[in-house]
Amino acid sequence: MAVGTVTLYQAFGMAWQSGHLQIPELPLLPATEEAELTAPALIEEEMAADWPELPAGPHDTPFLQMARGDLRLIVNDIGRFRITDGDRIAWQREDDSVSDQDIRTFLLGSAVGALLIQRGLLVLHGNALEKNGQAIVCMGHSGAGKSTLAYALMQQGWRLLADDLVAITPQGCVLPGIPRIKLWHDAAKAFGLDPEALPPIRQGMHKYLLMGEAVHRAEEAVPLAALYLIHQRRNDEQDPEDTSITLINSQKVAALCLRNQAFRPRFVRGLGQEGPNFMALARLQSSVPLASLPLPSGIPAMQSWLAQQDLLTAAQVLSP
Amino acid sequence: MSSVEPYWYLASYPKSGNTWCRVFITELRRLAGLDSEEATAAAEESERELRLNRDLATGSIVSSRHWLDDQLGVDSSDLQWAELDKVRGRLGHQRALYSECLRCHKVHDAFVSSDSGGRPVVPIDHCCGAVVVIRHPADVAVSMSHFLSWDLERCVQFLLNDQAALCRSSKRGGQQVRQFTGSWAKHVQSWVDQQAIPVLLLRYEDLLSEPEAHFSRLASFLDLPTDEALVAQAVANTRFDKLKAKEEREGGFRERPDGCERFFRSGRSGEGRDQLTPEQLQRLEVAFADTLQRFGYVLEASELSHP
Repeated sequence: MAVGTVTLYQAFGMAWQSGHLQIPELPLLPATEEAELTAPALIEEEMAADWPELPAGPHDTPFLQMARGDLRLIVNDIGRFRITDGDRIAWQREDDSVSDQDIRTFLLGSAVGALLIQRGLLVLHGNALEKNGQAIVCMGHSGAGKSTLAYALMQQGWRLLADDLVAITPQGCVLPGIPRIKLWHDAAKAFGLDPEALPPIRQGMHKYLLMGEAVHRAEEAVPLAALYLIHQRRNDEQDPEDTSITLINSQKVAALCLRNQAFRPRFVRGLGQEGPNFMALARLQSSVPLASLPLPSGIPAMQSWLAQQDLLTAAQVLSP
Repeated sequence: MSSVEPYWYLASYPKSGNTWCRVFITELRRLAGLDSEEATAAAEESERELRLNRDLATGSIVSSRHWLDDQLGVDSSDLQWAELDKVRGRLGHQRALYSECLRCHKVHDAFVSSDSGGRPVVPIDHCCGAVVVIRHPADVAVSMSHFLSWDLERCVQFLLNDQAALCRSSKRGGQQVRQFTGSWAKHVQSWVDQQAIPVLLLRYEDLLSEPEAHFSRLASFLDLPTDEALVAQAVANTRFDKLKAKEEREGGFRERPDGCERFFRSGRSGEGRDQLTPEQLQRLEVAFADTLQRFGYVLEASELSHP
């Protein structure tokens, strides 16, 4: 919904208002919902030189500065981002050669993630998919194959709630996030897509954006039924423990796994959200089963293996 | 900025003994009781013996996306290789969250890359130094051939290629970013001849022939205990035949790629001479003659052809 020069979007159960920057990756806020609109999060271009200095924090890196309610991110040669108080993202591009697409790529990842963390939401690094009004979340480190899995599941009738950034409410519901999947060239081809016909995530990159019509999205928040930890299986794996879904029984191991799968644990610490985050993780751990998901390598093998699994109930069935 | 903690690099061309050194360090630390309480307790629960897959925690490889994403604050897979090489050397070495291990980072990148603008690809602020492990390129070719399931000719070409890199595809994801190596000789020179951080040069061949002496130099360089009996015990526990047996018992070493039958395969030196063709051996020796002689390797194929 466009109002004057600004556009209103919705994601993660809230409204977002962007000035000059159009963000086609985000669903528009339906006009019918504008009446009940609470203050939207603002996304605004701003001169970084005007930002007040931030004292050095214990978790800062050369590209990140953090204090309670204030995070600064520098993306080299791309731009600067400032995220404050869970309600505002300010950004500045490095120079005119930086495209809106470049800005959106980092804005919709780290900047939005930081804002959600500031709001006290539990943010996990994974994907979330919905079926029959329930959600699963599959987590994994960078390069573990999260987006590939999200696309494969979508092909098997699941609807996408979020990829990369997953936000969970204190009530244990997964919020519909940014309905887009980023696929590498080789993965897109293996799924029978034509990479040439897809928009690259950034100019010159062989990673592509699937959004809009290309994505079946879930539009409502739904309760979380199970958490999975992606584990890339070796092709020569024999051990049945490593070829079937296994419940992570140990409370200690589960807690460690979850803590490590938070979206950017450094943000959580630097923003002073470790306490609430710990409580939210503990709540989640006590109410939702966590299991390992040993994905076969290679997309065809993964697809046929997934087709034989019932991920909504698999983890619950294993629960004591 | 986080407080500065000491860290080192274990730098090598691939298949040159990097992992062997890391296994030795892990075992020496375990024997010396230097591991974290948690790690020590875990070790006590089970047999007092090196457990290959669980205990190898000398510090993350510097090309790991997990580590880069944490330091950069963004998803490294949203950046191009050239963009990454420009910033990798500017990252700090803040303790990775929740990890407790010796900060001795494995690195296969050359010290500078074609995209790093002459600057180091790895952070060097407050770095205590780099252990540089080198191995005869003919033996590297044989080892690489088994590890990557490449034929020997492809490995020889890789060693000779000035633009060679690991994980270089920009069309698929993975847990590591591209690592520019350049040719074998350029790689070795890039680390040995840089002036920014101290270097301990170790030859794989010397680690094999006089393990106590050279592993003791390694321990000393890393400020680890150099007590003779301790080093000898760590050397004995990490002899190649023991690692190989452990690999078989534990059903495969985790760092072994698909198709690679075993990670700890032979460990011998001199296999290259037997398995490469005289022509392949000669290409390597001609291209790398200066570097080979500089580090005490005898040129053999060249002698054969020019008696």
